[in-house]
Amino acid sequence: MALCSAGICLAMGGKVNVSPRPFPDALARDLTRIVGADGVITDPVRLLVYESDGLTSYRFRPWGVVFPRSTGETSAVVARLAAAGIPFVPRGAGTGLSGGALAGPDAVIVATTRMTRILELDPPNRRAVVQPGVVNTRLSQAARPYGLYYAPDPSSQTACTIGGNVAENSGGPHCLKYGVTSRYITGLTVVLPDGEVVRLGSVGGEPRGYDLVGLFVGSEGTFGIATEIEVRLLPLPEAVETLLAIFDALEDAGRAVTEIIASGLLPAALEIIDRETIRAVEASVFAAGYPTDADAALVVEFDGPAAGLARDAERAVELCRGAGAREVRRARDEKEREALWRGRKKAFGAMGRIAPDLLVQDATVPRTKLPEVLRRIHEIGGRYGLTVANVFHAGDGNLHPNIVFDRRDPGLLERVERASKEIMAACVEAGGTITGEHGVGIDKRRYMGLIYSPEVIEAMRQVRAVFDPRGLCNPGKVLPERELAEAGKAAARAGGRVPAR
Amino acid sequence: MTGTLRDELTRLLPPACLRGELGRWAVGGEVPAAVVAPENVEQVAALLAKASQERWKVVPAGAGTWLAAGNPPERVDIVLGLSGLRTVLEYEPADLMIRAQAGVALRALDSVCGEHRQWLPLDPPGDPAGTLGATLATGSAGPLASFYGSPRDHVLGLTLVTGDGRVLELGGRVVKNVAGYDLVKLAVGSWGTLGVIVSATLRLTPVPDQDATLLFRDADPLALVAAARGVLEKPMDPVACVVVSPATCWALGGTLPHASDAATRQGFGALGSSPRPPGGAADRDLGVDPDAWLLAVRLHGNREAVEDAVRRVEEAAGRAAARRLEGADGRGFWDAVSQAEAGVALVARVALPPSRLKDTLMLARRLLGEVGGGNGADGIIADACAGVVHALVRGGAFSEAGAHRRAAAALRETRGEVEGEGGTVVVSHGPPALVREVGAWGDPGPALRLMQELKRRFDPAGVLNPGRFVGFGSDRAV
Repeated sequence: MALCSAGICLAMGGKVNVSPRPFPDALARDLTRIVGADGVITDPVRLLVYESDGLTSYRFRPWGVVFPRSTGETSAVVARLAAAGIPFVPRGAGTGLSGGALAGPDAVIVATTRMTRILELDPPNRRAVVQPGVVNTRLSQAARPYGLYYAPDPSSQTACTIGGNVAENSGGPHCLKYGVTSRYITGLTVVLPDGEVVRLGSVGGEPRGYDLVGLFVGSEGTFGIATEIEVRLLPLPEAVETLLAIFDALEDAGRAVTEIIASGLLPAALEIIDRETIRAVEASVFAAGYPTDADAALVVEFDGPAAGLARDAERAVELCRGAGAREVRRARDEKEREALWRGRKKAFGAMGRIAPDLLVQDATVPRTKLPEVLRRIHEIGGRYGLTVANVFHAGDGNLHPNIVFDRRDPGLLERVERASKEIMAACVEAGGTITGEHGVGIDKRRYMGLIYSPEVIEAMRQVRAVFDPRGLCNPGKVLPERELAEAGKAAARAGGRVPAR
Repeated sequence: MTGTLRDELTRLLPPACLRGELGRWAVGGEVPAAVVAPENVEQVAALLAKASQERWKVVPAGAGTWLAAGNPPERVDIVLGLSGLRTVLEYEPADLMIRAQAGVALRALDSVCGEHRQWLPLDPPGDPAGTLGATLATGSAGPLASFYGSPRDHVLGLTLVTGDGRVLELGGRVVKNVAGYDLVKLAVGSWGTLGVIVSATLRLTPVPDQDATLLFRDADPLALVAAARGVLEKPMDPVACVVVSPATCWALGGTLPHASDAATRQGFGALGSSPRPPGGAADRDLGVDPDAWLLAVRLHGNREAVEDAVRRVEEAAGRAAARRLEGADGRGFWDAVSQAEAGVALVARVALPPSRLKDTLMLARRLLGEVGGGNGADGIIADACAGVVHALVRGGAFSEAGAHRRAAAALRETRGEVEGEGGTVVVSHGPPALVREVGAWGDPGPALRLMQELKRRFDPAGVLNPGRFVGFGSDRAV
């Protein structure tokens, strides 16, 4: 949940600083020597930009931001910080939705945004090697002339970076058919938290010891920084069929999804937005022509070889009608396709315009439990007097129940917080998980105990300690309570000890 | 020691759990002091906790189909059989999800899911009796892996019992889960050295409408490699694409299930249906060219998609298919490809990027020439999608004096060359003495230290599969 509380602030860096300690000259000089003068920001005014990520209600101004341009520079920067015991936080485009890229007042952000080169494009092997700051869509654009693309398509893909995708194991609407980021990362060069550079991965999927690439993906910037990322590309689908089905009952939309999956079809995407979301979108500048009296809109997309695709689409149309769709629109060209998607793609943007604050949740439940969970969410919203607008990747049960509100409204903040907790508990009770794609970050640490035993969380701590024995790499993220307290202490301890030169 | 160990075990586990036939469970040539088959997870945990205390060495096993693989372990006190844990715990077709214990055979899973027209698209090499647990622990991938994913891509969650007996439920039941660190990926493919997988939750996929396999033949393997590359460089996706050598084709014919069934035999006429050496008169009757290599391209999709794909594959390959297999015939063929490695004396896998398939094939053939028996019975299965070429040495090659020395030298040389180009040479299984000498896995790379640290956290007493996985040859193996 996207809200700040004193406890979290404390754990982030030991103190809630009103006036941050000045950045030591010696350190600034050393870092500048590595990355150049325009690669270091210590001016508090300029640092404002880095005090939040995609969750704008969390604000923590970092101590400084450094911008290495290569593996070598990243290694030298991290080694220098580690030598002084200064915690650091990797950051890409800052579009994350779990507060993972936030740094406390004694921590330095190591930004990847100057590492934007595509190092290798290897079409015969359907492979590319990129620096972490390469924007997701830019990679696909670069691969396009070779008939290839990069499949994982998180909604922020025009801004988010491959490095960020690796850290969060990002998903997106098309991961229903194609899988999430970890399916597409075949090798990594990682700068470990002490500055050591290590290469992970092998050829042809052959074993080279443990699957450290698989372990690193989704580690949310707590194991080190990936400075070279080897990715798998796919051939561009020859054809796409996109449908928009309108339903008078949300449950009917859910039933259509179940029927489609049960029929053996494997769509590339299955997305549902509910009545509240439709209304928000249609009231905004993103109006997409979705009927505002509909209870749900379902986007179904198929892609692949042209032969046989139309048949799959027709079958899906039949199934949607059979489940009660009042209308099914089918795109005849790319322009119409974009129009059908627009309502879904602009959902978050539209909601952000309705009220100053947006609670974005991210939970996954088994698909068969979706109707029940949606009913419970509706009930919880009603009980707290809140409107919940649902957007979800119906095919894989990943839902985003979003609440718009104004935190200045007295008592509302607390109601939103309580509702959010109940929603999360309902999802877990239904056999789900606490985060399907946004990551734990700071935001969901307190829910980790809902799905993992203390032994498992302890095992995760131990794994983290292998990569980061000193607790300097993105402390205060992912793991709850004990780690939180200790990381806070370590950061506070370390923060005071910059050697005087 | 043996006496004490068995005494301890009888105190720990019900008598039914202690097994006989110790010789059948030899690992790397070493017979264990005891074989146990716990009935539930608690017993597995109790055993491992005790083993950690007593510093026993434990080798996990499913159906025992992977005992000869990997490095021979440093010592084997107990083989821990998972055959008592063979229940399908949960199957939710509407969620495309199945949860099963590790001792369930892969093919048993297939028949359960088949009833709902779903399947787990894994086709690991080896004995068909292989269990789910073994497939996940070894991370074994077959020809379908490049398209459908390797074992780790199908696991939503699993329960792992660590070397010191902690029971960890990792992951979850849902397809999208990024809560915490992905310890599932760490466990899969860890060769039973971090813990014992006792159950797993898997993601299934709908059975495709059509499953067609095109067979192309040529005496020149490089022509088939070029054809395979022609297919793979087009924007189409065969689900599997392998090049098979003549001797292996014959072996495939011989190991076919239901080979006595006339219809099946006819369907496999291109391969030959009995394990005769090439050159027999009957081959000509069947229209088989005994010196022919084979390229097999597998296609999934609905009827129109597959018909169109067939046309495109032939166009890209620059030739018409010699034969087309459907349904049970096709599945039988691919089963035979998977099983071809079972019972073979040595299998080495050479991996380089797929675009270099020609080089990789030549290296594997050269290796076979030096390691193999030279009796024409050795074989090649090249996975064109992955770029991994399997060299199969049938047997008898190592009984000759000096053969061992030659084989070790050839393996080392090839490995040195291939690793120098960023690839790998894995000796999947072989005579224990030879594997012990050259090492099954090759250079583990710069991350070995991290792996050793991880091993220490999950198996502090070094109970599980000591030395079986990477880093062998030092006292710091995982």
